[in-house]
Amino acid sequence: MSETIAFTLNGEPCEFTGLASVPLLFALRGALDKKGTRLGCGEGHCGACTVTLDGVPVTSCDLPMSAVAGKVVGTVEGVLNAEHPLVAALIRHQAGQCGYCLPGILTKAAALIDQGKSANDIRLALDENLCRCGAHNRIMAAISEITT
Amino acid sequence: MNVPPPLKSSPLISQWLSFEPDGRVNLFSGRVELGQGISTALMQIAADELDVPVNTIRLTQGHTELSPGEGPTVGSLSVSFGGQSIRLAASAARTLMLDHAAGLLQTTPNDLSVQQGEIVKDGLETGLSFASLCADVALDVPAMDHAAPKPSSERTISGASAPRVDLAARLTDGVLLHDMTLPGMWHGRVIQPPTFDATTGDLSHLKLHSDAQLIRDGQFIAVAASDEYMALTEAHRIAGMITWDHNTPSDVHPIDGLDAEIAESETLYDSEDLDKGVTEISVSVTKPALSHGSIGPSCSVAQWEADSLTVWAHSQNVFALKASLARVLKHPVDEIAVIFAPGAGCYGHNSSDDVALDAALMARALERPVRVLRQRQDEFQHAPLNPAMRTKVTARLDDAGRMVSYDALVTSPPHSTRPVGESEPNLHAQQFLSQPMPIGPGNEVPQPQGGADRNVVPGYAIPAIRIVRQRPAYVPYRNSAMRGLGAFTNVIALEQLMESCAQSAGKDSIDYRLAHLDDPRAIAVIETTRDMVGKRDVGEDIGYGFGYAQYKNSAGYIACMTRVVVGDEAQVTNVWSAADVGEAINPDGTINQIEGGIVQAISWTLKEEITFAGGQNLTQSWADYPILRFSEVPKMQTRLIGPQDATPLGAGEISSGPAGAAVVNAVRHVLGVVPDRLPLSRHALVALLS
Repeated sequence: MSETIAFTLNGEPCEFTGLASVPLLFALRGALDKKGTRLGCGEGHCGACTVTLDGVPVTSCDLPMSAVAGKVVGTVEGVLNAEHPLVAALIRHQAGQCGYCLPGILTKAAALIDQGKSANDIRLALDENLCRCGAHNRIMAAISEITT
Repeated sequence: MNVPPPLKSSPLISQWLSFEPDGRVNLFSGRVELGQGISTALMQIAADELDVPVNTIRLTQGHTELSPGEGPTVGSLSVSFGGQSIRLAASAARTLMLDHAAGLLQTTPNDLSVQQGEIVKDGLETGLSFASLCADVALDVPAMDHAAPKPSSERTISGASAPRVDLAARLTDGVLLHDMTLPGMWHGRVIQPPTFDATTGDLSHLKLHSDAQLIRDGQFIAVAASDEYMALTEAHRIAGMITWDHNTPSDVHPIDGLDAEIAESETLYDSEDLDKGVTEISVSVTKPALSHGSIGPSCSVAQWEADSLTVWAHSQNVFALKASLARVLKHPVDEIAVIFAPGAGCYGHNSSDDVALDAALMARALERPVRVLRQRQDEFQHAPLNPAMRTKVTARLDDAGRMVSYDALVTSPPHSTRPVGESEPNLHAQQFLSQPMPIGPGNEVPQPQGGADRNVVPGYAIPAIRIVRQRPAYVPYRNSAMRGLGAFTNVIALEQLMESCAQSAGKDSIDYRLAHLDDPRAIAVIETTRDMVGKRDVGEDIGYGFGYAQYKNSAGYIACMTRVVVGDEAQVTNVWSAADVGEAINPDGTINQIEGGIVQAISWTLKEEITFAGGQNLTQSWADYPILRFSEVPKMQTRLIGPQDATPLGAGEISSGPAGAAVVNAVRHVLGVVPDRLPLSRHALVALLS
C-alpha cells in the first residue's frame, strides 16, 4: 500500500510517496531523481550505493523507506553541494578510473572525516566498499591529505 | 611514416576532426572510455598537434554514425593505433589551416604559428583562427597527404601528466549510461534460463502487478515496468514461479575438463632440438575461471522510432555490436545506430553487448524506450568468463645451467567469443529466441598477439622452442576475453620456470634472467626494479618475488618485485615496478593503469575463482567471490623509464602477468614449494604445506 514518508535529504525536507518496502536507493534514483548514488550489487555487498543515515554510512540498496521515515539522509549530491574538501582531493589525486564505486566511497569517507576518524580507521571502514579498477591507494592518498 | 590501421580504413581528416566557428574542435574516435583515461590521452594528443587548449575539444567516441570505424577498444592499442591516427590527422589539419592562412596573408606557412587556436605571425595575432577559417578549408582530404606531426621535443601537452577530463563528472549522475532516461522509458530485467538448453512452457497465466509486463520470445523471458524497483521485484517473483526443463549438466569440473577430451590441438612453433641439454625442469600453473567483476552491472537503453533502432551501450566495439544486432534482429544494418555511453570498468568482454540485445528486444516488444540492467548474479553466472586454463612449461639446461630448450603446452578454451557481427553475433539472448542462433565457439587471437597462448612465447633467448595450444572439448560456461587474455597464466608459468631454472643453476634469479636477455629495454626495466627495492628484509614468513614480461612480446615492458608476508593468508605488502611503455601521453594516467592492473592481478592470484559443482556455476554474489579490499592493497612504487620519443606501446594490460608471477614467486620462496594451482587462498596455502 502506498504511503507518504517524510525525511530530510541533504538538509532539505523531502517526501516520498510509494511502498514503504521500496529500498532508499530506488527511491533516490527513481521518484526523487537523485542518481548520483549507484546501484552495484543490490545486496549490500559492494558499497556502491552508500549514503548516510543520521550521519552513519549505510548501504541504501537494502534499506527500506520505512526505516528512513523521520531520519536525515545524506547522499553524494549533498557532499558535492557542500564542496567537501575530499572532492577536490580525489580529483587532484586522480583517485579513480571508471569511478563507479566513487560516489559511495566519497559519501562514506566524507562522513567519517567529518566525524574526526583517522585515515587508518577510514581505510578499514572502506573494506566494505569494493573498487575493481584498483584505485584504492589514490583514494587513500586523497583521504590522508584531508585527515592530517 | 607508418600509417596506423585505423587511419588506413578512415583516411580523411574530416573522419577524425572538424572545427566550429565558435572555436571548438570536434574530435571523433572509435576508441571508448572504459575508465582507462583514453579520452584524456586522445584530447591531449589532438591539443598538442593543433595548439589548442584541451578544454576546447569536444570528443565523440564510439558512435557508429559519426566515429571512424576503429574496431574494438582492446589489447592496449588505443594510444598506439587510435592515438597515432589522431596525431597524424590533427597535424594534417593544422598544415592545411596554415597553408590557407599563408595564402590570405601573402606569406609562407613557416612564418606562421598557432597559439590557442589563433594564427599568429611574428608573435602578433593575424585575425585569423581555426574558427574563422573553418568554412574555407576542406578537411575531406587524406590525412597522410598533409600529416606533419611535431617532433617529440616540441610537444608540451602530450607527455605531461594531465587531470582526467571526465573524473569529476563521474562522482555524480549525468555521464554514465546507467543514469540515462528518455521520455516514456521503462525499466527491464531479464530472467535468465539456468542452462543453455533450458525450456519452459506456457506462461500466459502469470499475472503481473501494477503496469509490469512479461516479454517473451522463445526462452528469452523478461519483465519491464515504468518503475525500476517494480520491474526488479516482479522479475524476481516471476522467476520463482517458472519451472525449467533441461538436461542434467555434466558434473565434470571445468578444471578437470582440461584433462578430458581435447577438441583441437595446434603446434604454433616447433623445433628438432628440444632434447638437447642435460637437466629438465617443468612447471605447471592452473588458473580457474574468473569473472570480470565490474562493480556496475551491465546496462543498455534501446529505442525504436518507426523502423529505426538506436541503442546506447557501454560496448567495447559499437561497430561489431551494430552488425551483430542487425543479424539477430533480422533488421537492416543501416537502420541501426549504436552510441557508446560510459558504464563501469569492464576489463574485457562482459555482458555489455548482451544487454544491448536484451534492451532492443524489449523495446521492440513494448514499442517504447527500455533501459535494461543486468543483475549481479547474472554477471557471475551468465556473462562470459575468463576461461579456466593450464600452462605447462618445460626447460632443458646445458652443463652451465643455461636454457637450451623450452617446451610449452597451453590448454584453454579460446579467449574470445566477442560479437564480431554478421558471421558470429554471439549475443547471449540469441540462443534463447524462438528462432534460436547458437553461440559460436569463439575465435582465438592468432600469434604474434596470441589469445590463450599470449606471452607463452618467451622473451628470453632460448635456442629451441616448441609451443602447443590445445582446446578442451568440455567448456560448461561462456568463455571470453579478460584483461591480458592468456598472458596472466602464461607469464606466471614462464616466470616460475625461470625461478626454478635459476635455482637449479645455482644463480640469482634476476641475474639468471638478465643472462638470457639481450633487449636493452628489457634489461633496463629489470635492473631499475631491482634498484628500487634496495635492501630486502628477512624473516621466515617474508618472501620477495619477481616477474617480468614484455606484453605480447611487442608492447610495454614491465618488471615487478613484490614483498609478501605469509600467515594464514598471503598478504602482499609492497610492489615495486619499472615500466617502459615508450611514449606515455599522460604519465600519471599510465601509472594509474599499471597499478590498477597490479591490484587486479594480486586479487586474481590470491582470491578469485568461479565455483562449480555438479555442473553448475555456484557463484551468485560478492560473498561467493571475494576480491582484494582496501586494507589488502599493497604500497606501490611505479616508475616509467621509457623514452618519450619512442613509439607508444600501450600500458593498460601489461602489468597483470608480471605482478601475478611476482606474487606466486614470493609465496613460493616462503613456503619452499612450487604452487601449481591458483588462487593462492588460505585453503590452497594449507593444502600446499601438507
